[in-house]
Amino acid sequence: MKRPRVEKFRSSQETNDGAIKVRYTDPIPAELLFIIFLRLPAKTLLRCVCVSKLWASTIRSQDFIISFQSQSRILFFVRDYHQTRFENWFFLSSQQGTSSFLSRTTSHVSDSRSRCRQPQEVNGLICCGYGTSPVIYNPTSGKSLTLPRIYVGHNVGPYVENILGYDQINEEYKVLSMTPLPGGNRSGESVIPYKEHKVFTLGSQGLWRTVECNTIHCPGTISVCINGVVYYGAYLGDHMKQLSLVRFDVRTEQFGFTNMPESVQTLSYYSSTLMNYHGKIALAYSTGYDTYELWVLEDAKEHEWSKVCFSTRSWTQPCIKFNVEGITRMGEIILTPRYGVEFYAVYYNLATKQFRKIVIEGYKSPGGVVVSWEYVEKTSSMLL
Amino acid sequence: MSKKMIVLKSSEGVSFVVEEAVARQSKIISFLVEEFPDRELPLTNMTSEILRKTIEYCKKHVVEDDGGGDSSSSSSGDLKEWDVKFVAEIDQPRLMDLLMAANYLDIPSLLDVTCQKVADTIAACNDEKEIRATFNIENDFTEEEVEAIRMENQYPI
Repeated sequence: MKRPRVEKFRSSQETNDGAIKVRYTDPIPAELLFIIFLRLPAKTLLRCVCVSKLWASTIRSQDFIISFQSQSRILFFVRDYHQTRFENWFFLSSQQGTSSFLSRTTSHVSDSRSRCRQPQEVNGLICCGYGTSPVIYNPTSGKSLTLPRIYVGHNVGPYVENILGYDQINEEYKVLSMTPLPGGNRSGESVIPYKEHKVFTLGSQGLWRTVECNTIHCPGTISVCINGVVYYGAYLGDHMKQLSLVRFDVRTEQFGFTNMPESVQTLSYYSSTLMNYHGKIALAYSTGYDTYELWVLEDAKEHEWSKVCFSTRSWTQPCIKFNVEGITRMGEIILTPRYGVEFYAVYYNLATKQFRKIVIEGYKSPGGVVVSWEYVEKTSSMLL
Repeated sequence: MSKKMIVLKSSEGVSFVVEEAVARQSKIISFLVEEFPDRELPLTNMTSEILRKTIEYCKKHVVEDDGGGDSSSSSSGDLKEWDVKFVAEIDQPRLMDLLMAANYLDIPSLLDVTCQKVADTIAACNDEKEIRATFNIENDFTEEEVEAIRMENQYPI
């Protein structure tokens, strides 16, 4: 088929009534397409890739994929608590001040425990924390995947804890599942020892594989995956009183343990958050109404930590208690108000001590919890 | 003190007399003004209509130095609102011309608003056919190729 001649800028065509009708004929040059596509959500790019060969080659170029995935996008997660048997989860994305709806999903609630902990984002995917049938969500596509059932002993089902990790060398996602000792929770204590550890590789046809862990411990924090290592805070030792950081290498499936800082040992994990602080794992603690400490792991084998302190006192609206949710790649601490109906997050830059507020326009919090992280929006289908 | 004026000439040969500060928002014009002072600047691939629109934008965005430091003629909130209205009122072909003009003249803020408007227009399309129709793009794929792309682009999860 003969392609029409592409004229520079625009061609003028005289119509029957004599009026000059201008029609744009020049294609958008590739360098402009590149910056336009960066502003689109991944879901829209899937449509764009079918438009023409130029559009497809621009979106599929390595340069574009790297630029797209390294953009700062904030994932807002809203939980609708109003139902008893299930929760509605809403995922919203915020980029350069504009926010857009990503997807909605319904999560079935098997036990009140599953409401306790926030799900964590790992390289674009999200894993729901509890239960014998872990579900993996992709907030970008809105799709989910239910993993094969984990067979466990009597009465421990709701206590099964699942953690998602990503090994960037083999490009593999794995779920680490932990099962408490049978009867371990009989005493009614909240800290119960976990014994069995199983791993499932996403995309594999296989089943859950048992992995060895010789140290009985109880996970106590959210997990964070950095460079192929999953970190989570745990209780271990006599009477589960010692606070320790667990390191699970996603590729080798080996466990490592690092003592938490001495001054943290007397605390519990309540109101603490793990985060990726410039590529290092850090534990953020609320030490007062508006003061926080950030313990950064400098050397895992030497149990060496450094401390950063910060305060939200100079935030323009006083009397707001914040939850620390995480951190952006630029080193901004993400905080969300613990109470109130307004739907926003505050970003606190540790270096410049500046605050900025991100409001999700058009969305009112439906009475649930708002969490936000900086996240990766997947462009390619090569997830599994 | 009278302001320094420069002359920009469109592809049809129409001359536009513009304050230098206004025109200098274009990095290209800023460079040309220094290289060739007191000369008319011919912009041979810009129509009068698009040049007029571009100048309208630059006039609104000019930062006036009135001796008391830099002060923008409008507050940033008002300016943002004005920008939204400015691109909303432009039809599709002219938007594309304005995008090209912003790129050619190197006006970063105008490039930003036009790119965003194009991105919003793409996002509002329901499928690739609507995108092609809106942007007047020829489909150089065969049916089979589109189907193959669609298959491999499905999110497994």
